[in-house]
This record gives sequence, structure tokens and C-alpha cells, in this order.
Amino acid sequence: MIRPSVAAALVLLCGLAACGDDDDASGSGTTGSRITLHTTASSPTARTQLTTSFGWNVELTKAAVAASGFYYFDGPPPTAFFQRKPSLRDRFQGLFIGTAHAHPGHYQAGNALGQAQFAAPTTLDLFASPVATLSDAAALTGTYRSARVILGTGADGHVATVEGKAVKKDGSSTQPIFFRLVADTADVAVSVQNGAVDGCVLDEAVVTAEGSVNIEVKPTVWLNLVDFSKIAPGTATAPTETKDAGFSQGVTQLSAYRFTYTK
Amino acid sequence: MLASTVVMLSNAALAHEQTAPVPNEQPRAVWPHGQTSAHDVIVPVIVVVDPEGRVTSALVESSLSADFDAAALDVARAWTFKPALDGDRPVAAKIRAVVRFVGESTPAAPLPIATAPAETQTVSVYGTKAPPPPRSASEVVQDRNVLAAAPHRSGSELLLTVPGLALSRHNGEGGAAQIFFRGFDAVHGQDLEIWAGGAPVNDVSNIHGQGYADLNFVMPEVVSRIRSAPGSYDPRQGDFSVAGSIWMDLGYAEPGVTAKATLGMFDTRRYFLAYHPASMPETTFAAAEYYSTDGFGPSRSTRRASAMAQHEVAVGDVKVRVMASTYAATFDSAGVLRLSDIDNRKIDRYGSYDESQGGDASRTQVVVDIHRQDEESRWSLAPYFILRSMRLRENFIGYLVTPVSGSAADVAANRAAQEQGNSEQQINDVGTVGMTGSYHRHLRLLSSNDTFEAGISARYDRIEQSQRKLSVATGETTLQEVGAKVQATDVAGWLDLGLHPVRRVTLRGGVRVDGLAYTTEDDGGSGDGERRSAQGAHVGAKGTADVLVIDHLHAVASYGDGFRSPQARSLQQGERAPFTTVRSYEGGLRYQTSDVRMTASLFHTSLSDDLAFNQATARNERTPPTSRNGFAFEMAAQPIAKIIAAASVTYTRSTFTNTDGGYRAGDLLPYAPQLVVRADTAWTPVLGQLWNRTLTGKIGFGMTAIAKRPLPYAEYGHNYALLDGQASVRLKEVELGVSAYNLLGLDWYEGEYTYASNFTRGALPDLVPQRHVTVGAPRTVLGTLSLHL
Repeated sequence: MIRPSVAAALVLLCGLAACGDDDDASGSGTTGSRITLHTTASSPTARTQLTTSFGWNVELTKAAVAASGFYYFDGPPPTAFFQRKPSLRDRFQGLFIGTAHAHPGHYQAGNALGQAQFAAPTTLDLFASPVATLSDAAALTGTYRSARVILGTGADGHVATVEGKAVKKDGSSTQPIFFRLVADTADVAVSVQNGAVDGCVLDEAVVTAEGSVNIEVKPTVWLNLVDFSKIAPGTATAPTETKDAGFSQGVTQLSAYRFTYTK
Repeated sequence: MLASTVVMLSNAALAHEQTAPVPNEQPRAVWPHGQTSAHDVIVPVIVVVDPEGRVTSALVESSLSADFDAAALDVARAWTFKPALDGDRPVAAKIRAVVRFVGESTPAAPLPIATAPAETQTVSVYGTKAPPPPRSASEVVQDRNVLAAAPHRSGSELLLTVPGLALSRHNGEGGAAQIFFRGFDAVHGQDLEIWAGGAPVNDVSNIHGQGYADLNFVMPEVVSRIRSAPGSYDPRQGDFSVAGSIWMDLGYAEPGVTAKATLGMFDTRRYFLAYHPASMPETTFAAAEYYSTDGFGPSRSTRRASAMAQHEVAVGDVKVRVMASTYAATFDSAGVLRLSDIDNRKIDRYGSYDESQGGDASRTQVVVDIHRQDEESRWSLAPYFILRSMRLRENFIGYLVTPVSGSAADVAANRAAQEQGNSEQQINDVGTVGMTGSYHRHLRLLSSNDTFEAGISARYDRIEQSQRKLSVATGETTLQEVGAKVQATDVAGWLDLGLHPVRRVTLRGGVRVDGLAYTTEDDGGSGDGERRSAQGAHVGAKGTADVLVIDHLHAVASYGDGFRSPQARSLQQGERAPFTTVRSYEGGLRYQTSDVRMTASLFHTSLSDDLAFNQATARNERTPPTSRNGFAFEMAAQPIAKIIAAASVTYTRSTFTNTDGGYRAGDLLPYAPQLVVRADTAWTPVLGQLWNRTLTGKIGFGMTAIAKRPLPYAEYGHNYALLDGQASVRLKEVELGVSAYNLLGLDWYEGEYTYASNFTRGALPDLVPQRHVTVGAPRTVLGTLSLHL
């Protein structure tokens, strides 16, 4: 009666030891699971023509940005309030109860759900196809809502570069400005810490399986605050290479990057 | 001179027309290990004498020590009697007797043997009190034989002998162990009530974790018994008894002076000195130890010193036990390592990211246990006073800059602090006074054996605590996160009845009321000086039905209504202290004779809300309600006097019962292992005689195995099955032994945790939670020379 019990326990122990590790979940487990998300990049279709808020028509010939990695979070982006379409019930309630916004635009990243980290900063060349070949992201299942871009210094020594021609939209000046704008780490550090552009929109998605996350870069946002009148005209073959605070700030604008998950 | 005496005691079970057994042959009791004393030593026993006059069963009624118990049972089993008579017919009888080990000063002439008729004699038996009747099928008492079967380096490690319990020491060897018990991640004691020598061990609202229970002040040799009561079925169980309660009784069995010196790997040294007067029960002793080790890798050293004395005396009808102890330790901690770094050989598995981790601890306490017992009633009053101090420094997330909320100033301060590293210092200084008291008496309600007990428990803690971030480089404070002065009061009362409504059926149960009050004053920070108070009460019902199915086999069903108390610092002004409601159910079988105990049970526990280590915040956070379902099997046997074997298997499935806060109903609760197996066995043969001394040997093993540790994201941790062993030979005064921990030299992980960290300053951080581990110790061999004088 006794020894069989001891023997049974020892057999069980040996069985456990023989089992070794059990890293694979089988059957029910704890909440959530780990997945891999592929990372792709794209630029807008109308990437070459734009009009800035300073009234310049710009035609781009090159646009590139270097990134060290992307992070995905479940916290809503600071623009979520403006994006969300209120329900009928919300609109009805809004007739009687006002909405308080204690900290408009205050971003809470929430839980990190995914990260694509690159061994070295990778340049996203918006005029190339493909734009870049990017590492996969280690990720978790969950509801994805926002993202972080970590800017880095690319192989050309810059964080971001654009080349093109700008012409005053109202015709006040017919002199085209041939430019090559660059932004370095120190330039973007004026606006963001450690190159992190926080709170980028990731189109809300309940991610339960592996898929891809695409980053769409909008160079129009980069140039929106650039005053080309302060840049020497240059020529088509020898554009004026310079730094511009508006450009550096534009590169760090969260609206310049948008992420989308697809299965 | 060796001799023995049997004194027959009257037995109420025998009617007047019956004649008690009369001893007709009595071998002498042989002193354990051949060692004698100047004084006689007696061991009360209960024996069953069959109609042939032979002893068929012998049981020690009140333990003096494992060695004396074994020697007493050896001689009692060899007794022969003229059998008891029912009229003229020989019948079996159960009688009380005492085995007397005669001291050297006693005259050499043979002592008269007590003869029939049975003589009534009052024997003052004091020493280890018999444990109360079990309140559940799986309640277990592990005696010294089981506790000493395998080697143990600390009182904390002794907990491994408790069925269903596993440990992890992520704060280093000197910190309180993380406890897993029956599907509960009891953290450092949050869900497991622990008492040692009549003093509560759990810290109320400790800065490192509610219920922090540091057992390193207990020397393993001075623990005579561990009683574990899973669930909350006994009205005596109070705060922290969410998963159950554990009581450690203190005693030292070896008569005379014991001096031990232990040396071993990693420059481990231990010196142990104890004294136990042979004429006194084992509850009277004094012991001290000094322990030091460099540990099996950088930042793993430990130094500790502990002294403890306990004396039990009779003052008239009243017995008084006084226990006092003091303890201090300083220790390093290697902290956690990322599993991927170990796998990719970025760091040695015994290395550390931050060698400034560690801490210190001290504890000084006095317990006075006054009790009186007669045939009808007993009462006890046990005040205690405890001073405890703890400092921990740990760095579990490195340089991770976590998303923080609050004002811009707070955010900036946190970011600045994290730039310097997340080395965190926690300080917790406590003064505790309290008492327990009870009055127990026999009643005649439904039978002549019914009982009633009323008891109280009161405890007041005054706590000063702080938590600061320190610069990894300079050690300077970069951010004060917590500073608080806390006063905590816990007053409880209980009523308990034991009824026997029909033959073979016993009903035990009652009600317990706990009133908890907290006052917290912020000390430093933006809320400096703000004081707030909160109070709450919990009323819990407990009940046990025990049916004697056949001789020695009981079917037991239990219900308990318990609670989990809140962390004082988290309470707001006027808040009703929110208690988590804990409901426990268990049903099972107990089979117990003097030689064998076997239990099998099914259990269920539900919590109104729970706590779990959160991978996002890297600390315990509230979760939806949970339930735990499982089964436990346990056995302990001493088939012959020289062999002891104990084993247990406990399986628990812990799941969420609601969907909320990122958890889904039906999913597993992370971290607590589902399967825990433990086995202890020892053989202590007499090897022969040498130089007129008995040569005895001992070989013993202890094995702990855990499997199916659920981790976040549908992962499971690593299983392990660890074997510890020891062997020794003893020639009366001299004993040589060797002990080995992790005898098979397994690479194993003691603790596994999933959260985000960044241990490379300036590197792109991993924000997605990663697996972190605390590495288990490699094979460690120690040698011990003991002198018994």
C-alpha cells in the first residue's frame, strides 16, 4: 500500500523530468498569444505633386526617411477623438450633456502589442519599389490603435531627405526653387526624444492572427511648414542643399505616418 | 544504566467488569543513539493490546522528539501483556502507558514493573501540543521525521515539504521566497497565512507586497512540526489565509549540546549551536546559527545570523512557553535575466545585469504563550511583540522608459529617473504587537464529547515605508515614488463548535469576524502630510463534516468563507476596506493510523476578484473573478521505525470566470504551476557497534517537481524535477554528513515572468513583454561535522 504510492510518485516525477520544456500552448491557455506581423511600407499615390500651407506648388523627385523600428500600441492616437464617428446615442446625449476634454491631444500609448526592430536604421525610399524591405514584428494579439516610429540615421547620414522643385502657387515669383532638404538626428531631436514619433494612427484593428502592418509615409506633411522663399533657387542639376526647421519639424509630425493592418 | 517502566493509566473506555491488560514482560527502553542523561525521560504512548497480549499498534501520545519517539515505539511494540479480560474472555484493549528512559543517576537495580490493577497516575505532559482535529481532508501535519528526511538550508526551504507548495526566490537567498500554493501565486505571503512559534510571519501592507513572509529567521533544525491547512475552513484562520495557513511549531530534539560546522561549494559556511536539556521536552531549547555563502554567481552572496530560545515551564496548573529570537541578514540578488539573452549566450546564465541588487532584513520577537488545561476545559493567551526591518534593492526593468501618466512634471520626473535606470529601493520598518487567546471547553449538547471554543486575535502594526528610484551609476535617489506611515489594526473573534450528532459523525464549524482598520499618512512627495483612514469588516462562516466510514478512514467535507485584505496604501479616505471574498470547498478521504496517513481530496476555491502579475505594468494588478479546481493526494508512512516516506501530488486549474481588463473567462491564470509533486524519504539504519558505541547511518532524499506553469500569451514555463539528498554516519557524539542540492545538476529556472524590459542603456527597448527568468542553483554540495555533547 505504501511502496506503490512512493513508486507511483517517483514514476510521475521521472515522467515530468522526461517531459522537458513545454513552451507550446496546446488547448486552452492564458489570455492572448504571440504572433508575427510582416512589415511593409508605401508612399501615397500622388507623392510627387503637392501644395504647401505656405502656398508653394512642390514637385518631388526624391523622398526618403530612415527608421530604426516601429511599435504598435492599444492606446488610441491623439487624433482619435476627431476620427471617431459619434453614434446616434452619443449625438442625442450630446444635446444635453457636454463632453469635457481635460487634456486634448494627450497621448497614452497603453500596452505595447508589437515591435519591428531593425538591426540598423533602414531607409524608406518613397520613390523606389519596393519602398523598403523591413523586418517582421514580434507581436501579440489584441486591439491595435496607434503606433510609434523611431527615426534613425540612414546610410546617407541623414534621417530624412527630399529633393524637388518648388514654385510659388500664386505666381508672385516664377523663379523655381530647386532644393535638397535634409534633416539629421540633432534636427529632429528639437521636436522628439530619441527619434520617437509617438501617437501615429494605426487604423483600429482587432488582431487575432498573423498578417501585415503597412506604414504609409506622407512627405506632403514634411514640407507643409517649409518656407521655400528662404532657400536659394539652385538649379535642376545642382539643387540647393540645406536644412530647414520646418522640414525637420514636419518629419516628426505623427500625421506623416499612418499604419494599417491586413490579414 | 538502562531501564524502562510501564505505568498503566486508567482508561475510561474500559467498563468496571473489565480487567485492563497487565504487563508481563518488559524490555528496557534504549536511549536514542546510545546517549544517556542524568535524568529520566518519559514518552507517553497509546498501545493496543490484542487478546493474545501482544501489542498490535503503538502511537506516541505527546511527542518529545523524533528520536525518542522512535525509540519509545520500538520498545512499546515489544511489550507483552496478560490480555484485558471482559469477564473471563480475553479481549483487545487500548491503553495509555509511558515509556521511561532511565537516567544514569538512577540506581542500577531493576525498577518494579507496574502491575494490575491499573494505576491511575497523572503525568504532566508538556511539550509539543497535539494538533487540533483536521478541518479538511487534505490538512496535513509533517513531523520532524519528514522535515528532516531531505536537507534544508533555511526555514523557508522547509515549506517545500507542504503538499502543493512550490517556491521561487527572485530576491536572492536572503529575501522572502515567492510562494505558489494550490494554484495561487501567493507572491511573498499575500495568500498564505504563516505562523512560526506562535508569532505571525506575514507583514501587513509591506511595501514589497502584502503579506511579505520572510522565514529565513527560522533555523530548519528547530522546527518540530509543520501543519498546513489548505483553504479557510477553520475559524482560527485569519488575514492572509486565502489559499490556506501554515503553522510551524518550534522544538529541538537532540539532548545536550549540538555543535555543527558546515563547509561547501561557493564558499558556503554554516555554524550551528544548540542546547536542549535532556530532562525537558523538546520545546525547551536555545539555538543560534551563522550562515554565509558567496553564491553560485555574481551578486548572489548571503550572510545571516539568527538566535532563538524557547522555554516551557509549568507554574502550578498553568504552563508558560516563552520564545524569543533575533535575526539579521544581508544579501545580494542577481535579479532576473531575459531568457532570450541566456539562449543567445548574451549573458551567462548565472550572471546579473545589475550587481547592486540585494537587501537586508532583521527581525526580533518575543512570544509568551500561557495556557492551562484540565479534563473539561483549556484556555490560552499568547501575546507577542515583533520588530522587523527590510530593505530591498532591485532592478527588474533596467532602463525601460515606460509610458507614464500624470502631470507633465510627473512625466518629466519619471523619464529623468528612468534615464538613470530603474533601480528601486524599498524600505519597510514595522513594529507589531498582538495576541491570540481562546477558551475551549467540553459540552454536552448532542453527545458527551461536544466542544465549544471562543477565541480572539488582535494585532497592531506601525509601519514606515518608502520606495525610491536610485541611479544605477551613482546610487543617488532620482525619484521618491512612495513614502508612507501606516497604522494597521486587525481585531478578530471567533466561535467554534464541535458536535457529534450521531455515532461516527462529527460536525465542526463556526463563524469568524475580522475588523481591519488602516491609517496612512503620506511622507514626502506632493501629498506630504496627508492622512487618510479606511476600515472594513468581514464575517466568515466555516464548517466541516467528518464521517468515520470504517476504522481509520474518514470522509470529510469542508466549506470556508475567507477574505483577502487590501494594501493599506491603496485605500482612500473613508473607503470601506474592500475585501476580496474567498469561498473554499473541499471533499475527500483521510486514512490515518499510527504508521500511515493517506489523504485524497477534490477542492474548489472562488474569488470575487483576484490579483495577477501584469505584464504591462510589471506588478500585481486586479483581475476579474477567478476559480481554482483541483485534486490532491498525499501520504506519509513509517512502515518500520527506520524508514520514513512522504509524497504528495497536487493539481490545480486556475481560471478567470469573467471577461474583463484584458482577461477572458475560461483562460488560465498565469504563473502558478498546475502540477506540484513532492516526495521525502529517509532511511536511518543502525550500522553496527564500534568502540562500544552504536554506529547509525542516515540517507534521505527530497524531490520537488512542478509542471505546467501557465505564462501570459498562451505560453508555459519550464518544468523541473529537483532532487536533494543527504547521507551521514554518526558514532554517538560525532556525526559526519554530506548534503547535495540539485543532486542531478539540472539547469532549471526557479521563476519565470513575462514583461517588458531594457537592460541596455540607450538601446531600442523591447516593449513587447519578454520572458524573464530567475535561474535555479546548480548542484551544490556541503559537508557537515556535528558534535553531540
